[in-house]
Amino acid sequence: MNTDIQVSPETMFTETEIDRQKRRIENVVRIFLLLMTSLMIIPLLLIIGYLLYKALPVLSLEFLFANPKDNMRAGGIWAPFLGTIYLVVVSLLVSAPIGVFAAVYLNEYARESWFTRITNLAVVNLAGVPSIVHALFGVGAFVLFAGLGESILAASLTLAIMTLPVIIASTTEALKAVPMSFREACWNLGATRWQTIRRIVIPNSISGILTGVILQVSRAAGETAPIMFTGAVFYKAIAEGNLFAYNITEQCMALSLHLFTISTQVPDVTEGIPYGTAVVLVGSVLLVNAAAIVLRIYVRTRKKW
Amino acid sequence: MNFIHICFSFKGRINRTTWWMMQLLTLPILLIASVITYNAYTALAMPILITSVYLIPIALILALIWVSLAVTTKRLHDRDKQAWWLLIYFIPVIALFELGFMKGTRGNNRFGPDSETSSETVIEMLIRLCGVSAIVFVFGIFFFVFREGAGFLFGGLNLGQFLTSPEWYPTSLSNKRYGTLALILGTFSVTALAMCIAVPFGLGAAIFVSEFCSPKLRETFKVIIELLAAIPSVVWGFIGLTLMNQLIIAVFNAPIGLTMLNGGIMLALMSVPIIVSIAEDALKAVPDSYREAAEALGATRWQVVYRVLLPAAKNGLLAAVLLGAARSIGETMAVLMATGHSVNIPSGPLSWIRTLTATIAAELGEVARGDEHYQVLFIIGILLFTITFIVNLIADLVIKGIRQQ
Repeated sequence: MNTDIQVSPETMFTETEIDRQKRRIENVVRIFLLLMTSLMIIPLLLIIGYLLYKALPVLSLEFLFANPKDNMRAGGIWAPFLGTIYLVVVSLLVSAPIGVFAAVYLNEYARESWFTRITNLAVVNLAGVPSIVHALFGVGAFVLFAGLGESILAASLTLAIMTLPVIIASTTEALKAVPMSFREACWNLGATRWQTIRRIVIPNSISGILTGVILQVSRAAGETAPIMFTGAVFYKAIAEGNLFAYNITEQCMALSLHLFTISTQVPDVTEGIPYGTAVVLVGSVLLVNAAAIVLRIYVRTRKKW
Repeated sequence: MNFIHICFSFKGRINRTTWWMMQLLTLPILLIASVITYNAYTALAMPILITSVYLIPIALILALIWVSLAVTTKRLHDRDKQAWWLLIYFIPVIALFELGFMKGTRGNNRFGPDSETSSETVIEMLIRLCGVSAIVFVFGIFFFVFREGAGFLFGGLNLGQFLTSPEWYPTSLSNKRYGTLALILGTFSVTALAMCIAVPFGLGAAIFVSEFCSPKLRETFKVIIELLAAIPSVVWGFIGLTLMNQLIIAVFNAPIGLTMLNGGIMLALMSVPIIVSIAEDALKAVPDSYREAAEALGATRWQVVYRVLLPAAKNGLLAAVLLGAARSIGETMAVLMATGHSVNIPSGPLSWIRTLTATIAAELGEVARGDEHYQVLFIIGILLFTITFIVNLIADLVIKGIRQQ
C-alpha cells in the first residue's frame, strides 16, 4: 500500500479557511454565552440597587425597632421582624433534627432497594409540592385537625415540613463527601454503625450540615404562602423591644406577609416603607445565604483529605 | 438489647441517652394518638363505633404507661437502685435529675452489664423513623388536602364543568359556578412564557459555566445564581408590582403593567437558577473521556458541546427544564401580585390573568370553613398537587434513566 499523504510542516500549522471559520464561531459562541450568563447578574444587582435606592429615606435602626403605626401606613417593622424570627426558629427546631436524621438514614443505613427509591422520590416530591398546597395542608392538618388553631406553632410546623428537603439534600451532600475509607477504618476498630456516624462521619461533615441548616433558615424566612393561613396575621400589636412579645400558641406578623399586605392591601402607605421592608427581607435572606457560602468555602480550604 | 426489650422488659439496664430518646419517642405518639381519638369522638356519630373507638386510646395509654415504667425501671437499675425507687416520680425536679442526668454505675452491677451502648437501638430506630418521614409527609399532604375537599368532590361538584368551563363565579348569589379552565390556562400560559425566557438563558448559562469558564469565574457565577435563587417570591412579586409594572407601561404603552408578561418574567427569573444548577449537573455527569475523544478528533469547544455533550446529556437537560416548569406552576406570591388578578382566558402576553395558585391564596382567607367554595379551593389544591407530582415524577424517571445508562 502506497498511500503517501504529504503533510509538510508548513501546511500543517497554517490556518486553513475551515480552521479560521471554526475559530470565529467558537469566539462568537463564547461571547454570546458569556453575555447570557452575565445577564443574570444584572437583575440581581438592579433589584438590590433599586430597592436600596427607594428605601434609603426610611432605612434606620428606628425603622427596624419601631412598630407599624397608623394602620400600617407609617412606622417601622418591629412586630413583623420579630414574628419572622419566631417562625424561623421554631420551624428550625423541628426540621433540623428530622432533616439531619433523615439524611443520615438515607446515606448511612438505607440499602439499595425499592423502599429507598420510594423514600428518595418522596423527598424530591416534597421539594416540588407548591407552597400554597403546603398552606392547604397546614390548614387541614395543623390548624384544624390537630386543633392548634392559627398560631405560630401551626405556621412553623408547615414551614418545617416545607423546608425539610433543603436540609435533607445538603446534609446528604455533606455526608457523601466523607470518604468511605474513614468509615471502614472505624468499623475495623470494632466501632458500631452509630459510633462511626457519631464520632467520624458527623464531625467530618458538620460544616456541610450547618450550611444546609443555614439555607433552611433563609428559605423559611422568605416564604409567604404557607404561613398566610396557618398563623401569620395582617396586624398584631406587640410591645416594642421585647424579644418575648409573642406566644407560640398565638398568631404573629411576618416580614414577608407584611410586605405583601402593605404593597397590595393598604392604600396610601408612606412611600419608602414597602421598599424598606423589602430591603430588610432581601438583606437578611441574602446575608444568611452569604454566611452559608462563606462557610462552604472555608470548609473546602480546610478539607483534610 | 433489641427495641422490643427496651420498650417492654423490666430486666437489664439502659443509659441516660436511651431514657431521653424513649421520652422523645413516646411523647409524639401520645400527642398524635390523643389528637386522632379526640377528632374521632367529635366526628363519629354512630354509638357502636364510639364504644369500640374508646378501646383504642385506653389500650394505647396502658401500653405507654407500661413502656414508661419499663424504661424508667431499667434506668433505675442502671443507677443500681431497685424498682421501688419509681416513687421518685412524685418529686418532679429531682426525678428528672436522677433519671435524665445522673450517670449509671460503671461496669457490671447486680442488674446486668454496663449500659454504655444500650442507646444505639433507640437512636437507630429514631433515625429510621426520620428517614421515612418524607414518605409520611407526602402522603399526609395529599390526605389532609383531599380530606378537606373530598365532601364536595364526590358530592355535588360537576367535574367536567370544573375542568372545562371558564366561568369562575364562586361568590355569585344566584348561580355559583366553579369552572377553572381560565385559571388552568392562566397557569400554563404564564409558565410557558416563563419557560420561553428561562430555558435559553438557563441552558446557555449552564453550558457556559460548565464548559467555557475558568474555575474562578465559575465559582463567582454559581454564587450569584445561588443568591438569585434565594430571593423570596414575595419580593419578586413586589418587584413585579413596582419596577416591572412601570417598565411594561413605558415600553409597551399598556394601560396597566400587571400582565402575563410581567408574571412570566418574574417566574423566569425565579426558575433560571434551578434550570442552571440541574443542567450543569447533567453536563458534569457526561464522562470526560467523551470530551477528550472529541477534542482529539480536532473538534472545537463549541463543536464538543453541540455534537457530543448536548446529545449525551439531553435527558438531564430535559429534567432541568421540567423541574423549572414545576417550580413555575407552583409559584404563588409572585404571580398573585404581578399578573393583574383577573379571571380571563389569556389572549396574549399583555392580557391580565389569574393562576390556580393565586386563586387559592387570594380567596382562602375570605371563605367560611366547610363551604362549597372553601372545598373547591382544596380541590384546586389537589389538582395542583397532582400536576406537580406528575411533572416531578417524570423528571425523576428521566434522571434515573441517565444513571442507568
